[in-house]
Amino acid sequence: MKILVVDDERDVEDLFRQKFRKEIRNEGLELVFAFSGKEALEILETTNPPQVASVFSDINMPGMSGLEMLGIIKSRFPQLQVNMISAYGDTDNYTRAMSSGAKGFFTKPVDFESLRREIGEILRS
Amino acid sequence: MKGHRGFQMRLSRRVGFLAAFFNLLTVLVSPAQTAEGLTSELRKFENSPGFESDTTYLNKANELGFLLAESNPDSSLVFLNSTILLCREASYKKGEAEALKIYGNALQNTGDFKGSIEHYNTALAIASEIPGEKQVPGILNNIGLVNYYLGNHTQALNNFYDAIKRADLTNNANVKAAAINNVAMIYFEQGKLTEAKEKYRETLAIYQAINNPGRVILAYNNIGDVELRQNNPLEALNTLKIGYRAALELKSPEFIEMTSRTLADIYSALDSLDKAEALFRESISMSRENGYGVPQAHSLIGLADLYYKKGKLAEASGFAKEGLQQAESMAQPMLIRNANELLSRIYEEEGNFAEALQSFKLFKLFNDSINTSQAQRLTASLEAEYEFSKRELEYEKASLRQKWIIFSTIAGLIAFLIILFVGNQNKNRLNKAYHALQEKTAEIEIKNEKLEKALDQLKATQVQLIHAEKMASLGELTAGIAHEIQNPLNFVTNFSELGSDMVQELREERARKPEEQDQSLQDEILADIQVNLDKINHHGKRADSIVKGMLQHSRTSSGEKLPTDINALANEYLRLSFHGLRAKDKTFSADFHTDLDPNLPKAEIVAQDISRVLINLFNNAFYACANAEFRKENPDVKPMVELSTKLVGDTDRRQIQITVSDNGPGIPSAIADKVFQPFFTTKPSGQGTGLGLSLSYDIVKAHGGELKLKSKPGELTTFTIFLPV
Repeated sequence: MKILVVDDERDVEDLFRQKFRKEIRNEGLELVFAFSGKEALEILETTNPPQVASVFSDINMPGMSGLEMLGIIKSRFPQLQVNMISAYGDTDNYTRAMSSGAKGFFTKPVDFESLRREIGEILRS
Repeated sequence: MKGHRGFQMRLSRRVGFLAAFFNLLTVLVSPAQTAEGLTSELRKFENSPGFESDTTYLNKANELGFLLAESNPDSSLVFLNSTILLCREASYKKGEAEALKIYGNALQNTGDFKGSIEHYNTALAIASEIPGEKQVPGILNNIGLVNYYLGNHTQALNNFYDAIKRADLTNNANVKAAAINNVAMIYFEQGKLTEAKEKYRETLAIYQAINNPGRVILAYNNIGDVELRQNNPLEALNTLKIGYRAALELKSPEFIEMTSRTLADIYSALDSLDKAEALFRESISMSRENGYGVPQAHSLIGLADLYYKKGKLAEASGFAKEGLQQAESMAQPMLIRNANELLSRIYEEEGNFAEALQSFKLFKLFNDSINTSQAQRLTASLEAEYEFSKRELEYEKASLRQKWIIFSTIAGLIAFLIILFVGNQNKNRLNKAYHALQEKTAEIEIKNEKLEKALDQLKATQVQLIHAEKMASLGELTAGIAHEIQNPLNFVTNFSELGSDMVQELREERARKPEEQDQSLQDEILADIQVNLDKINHHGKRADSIVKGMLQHSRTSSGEKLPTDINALANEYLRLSFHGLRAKDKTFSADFHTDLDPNLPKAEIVAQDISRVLINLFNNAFYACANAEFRKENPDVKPMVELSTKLVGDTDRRQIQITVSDNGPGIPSAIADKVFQPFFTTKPSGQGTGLGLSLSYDIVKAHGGELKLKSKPGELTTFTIFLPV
C-alpha cells in the first residue's frame, strides 16, 4: 500500500519514516515522498490509475501550492484520496481544501495519532 | 576751480594778443620806429613852413599817434585830435580817415567804446569816398573789434566777414588775415574750438604765403592756445615750440615775449612749474623793457598763480598785487578779475579774511560783468560800480573788522547749522537704513528659524518614514517569519516526541528476555534517536537564526560592516518573503528558483541594511508576478522569482552580483527612472510606502555598490545589486 507525502521540507521524510516505522515494517506501508506539487503529480502520473492509495500534502509550498495540486489530482484521479496538512489551520484553508475534494485536513504540528488512525484505515481498506 | 581759472587767464590773454595786433599793423605800415624817433622827425618838419599840409608830415604824425594811442591812450587824444584837424584843413582825406581811426583805437584802449565806434564810423565814411577804398577793410576790422568788446558777437562777425570780403577785393592779405584771426577769436570765445583752430590755420597759411614771419609766429601761438584750451597741452607744446623757436630766430622781443607767455601757460597746465616760472619771468622782464603793459600783467598774475600752487603765499601775494595794479592801469577787466580771484584765495589762506572778502567781491563784480558779456555794462556800470564799491569799502573800512567778525560769526553759525542739518539728515537716513537693516535681519532670523524648524521636522519625518518603511517590510514578513519559525518548531516537537517514543520502544525491547531481544532493532533505534537529536538541534538553530535575523532587521542599523555570506542571507530572505506573502494571501502562488555561486566570497556589508534591500526586491518581485490581478489577466504565466549570485568583474575590482528577477508585467520605460524616487509606488494607496526602492538604492550606494533595473515589459524585470568584495 503506497502513500505519497508531499512537503517542501525534506525532513518530513525522516519524520514520517520513523513515525510509521512499525507500519512500514509490519503492515506493508510504503511511503513515497515528493518535495513539490509538480514532483507529486509526476509520481502519480507514472501509472494510471496511480499505484498510490492516498496522498498527504502540505499546502504552503513554493511553486504549485498544495491546494492547486489538490485540484489537479481531483480532476485527473477523482478516486484518489487526498489529505491536506497545513501550518495554518484557518477556516479559509480548511473550507477550500474540503470543497476541492480533500478527504481530511490536518494542522501542523501534526497530531500523529490521528494521522496514524487515518493511515491505519487506509491500510485496512 | 583751477580749470575755470585757466580758462579765464587764457581769455584775458586774448586781449593781450589784440593789443599786440595794433602794434603789428603799424609795424607793417612802416619800418619799426620809436616814438622818440618819430617825434624828432616831426620836430624837423615843424621848422619848415607849411608843414601842416605836408602829407609826409601828416603821415608821420599818424604813425606817432598810433604808437601813442597804444602806449598812452589817454594823453594821445590831444595829439590825435590836432592831427585830425590838420588833415581836415589840408583836405588830406586819407590822413583824416587814418587819424580818425587811430583816435578810435585810442578811445577803444581807454574803454570808451561808444566814442571809439563813432570815430571809426566817421573814418569809414571818409575812407569809402577815396577811390580804391584801401582803408575800408582795416576800419571794418576795428569796428568789429569794438563790437566784439561790447559783446555783440554777431555784429562783430558781420564786420569781420565784411572786412575779409573787402580785403579780398583790395588784395589786402594782411587785413584779411587779421579779420580771419578775429573771427577765430570769437569762435574761440564761443567755445567753438575746432572752428577757431581752422580759422587760425587759415591765417597761418596766409602769413606763410606772404612770408610774414612775425604773423606766422602769432598764428602758431594762437593755434597752440586753442589746443591748450582743447585740453591737449602736449600738442599745444609742440605747436608753441615751433612758434617760440621762430620768435628766437626773428629776435623779436614782442614775439619772444608772447610765445614764452603762452609756453608758460602750457607748462603751468602740465604742472612743470619751474619751466613755467622761467618763461613767465622772461615774459615779465621783456614786457617791462618794452612796455608791454597787458602781457606784463598777464605774466605777473600767471607767476603769482605758480607761487600760489607752490604754497609760497608771500611771493604769490606780491606778484598778484603787482599784476593787479598793472591790469588796472591797462584797464583789463579779465586780468583784474583773475588777479582778484587769486588774491582772495591767497588772503584766505593767509587768514586775512577782510582782504579776502574784498578781493572776492571785486572778483565777483568783474566776473559777473564779463560773464554776461555786456561790455557796455563793463565800461559804464562796471567802472562806476568799481569806483562805488571802492568808496563803499573805504567807508566801511573802519568797521570792517567788526563787521567781518559779525559776518564770519553769522557765516560760521549758518555753516554750523547747515552741517548740523546735513549731519542730522544723514543721521536720520542712516538710522532709517539701520532700522530697515535691523528689520530685515530680524525677518531673516525668523525665516531662518522657521526653515531650521522645517528642516528638523523634515528630518524627523524622514526618520519616521524610514522607520515606517522598515516596519512595513517587517509587517509583510511577519507571516513569513511565523511560518519559517513554525516549521522548525514543528520539527523540534515532532522529532523530540519521536525520540521519546523511541526511548520507550527501546526500553520495551530491553525489557524482553535477552534471547528475545532484537539487537539490530536496538541499534537502529539508537541510530534514529541520534539522527533525531541532530534534527532537533538543526531546526532549533534554524528558528534561532530567523528570530535573530528578525531582531536585527527591526533594530536600528549599527552601521558596522561585517563579512557576510551573501548566499545564505539572500536565500533566507527569499524564503521569508515567499512565506510571508503566502501566509497573507491564500491564493498566492509563485515559484522561486535560486542559482547561487558556491564560490562567492564573503562581502563586507551591514547585513541588516542589505537584508532590507533584498526583502524589498523579493517582495516586489513576488508581488509583481503573483498578484491576483496579474494572474487573472495572465493565467498562462507561471509566476517565478529567480535569485542568482555571481562573482563578476576584473580581478582587481571584483564585485558580487545579486540578481532578483520576476516574470511579471515588467516596468514600462516611462516610469523606469522613477522607481528609485522616494514615495513612488504603483501599489494601491495604503499598500506601499513608496520608499522601499528609494531606501534600497541609498543603502546599496552607501555600500559603494550599485542597484540597477532592467525590464522588458511583458517578459521580465531584473534588479541587480553590485556589491564590492
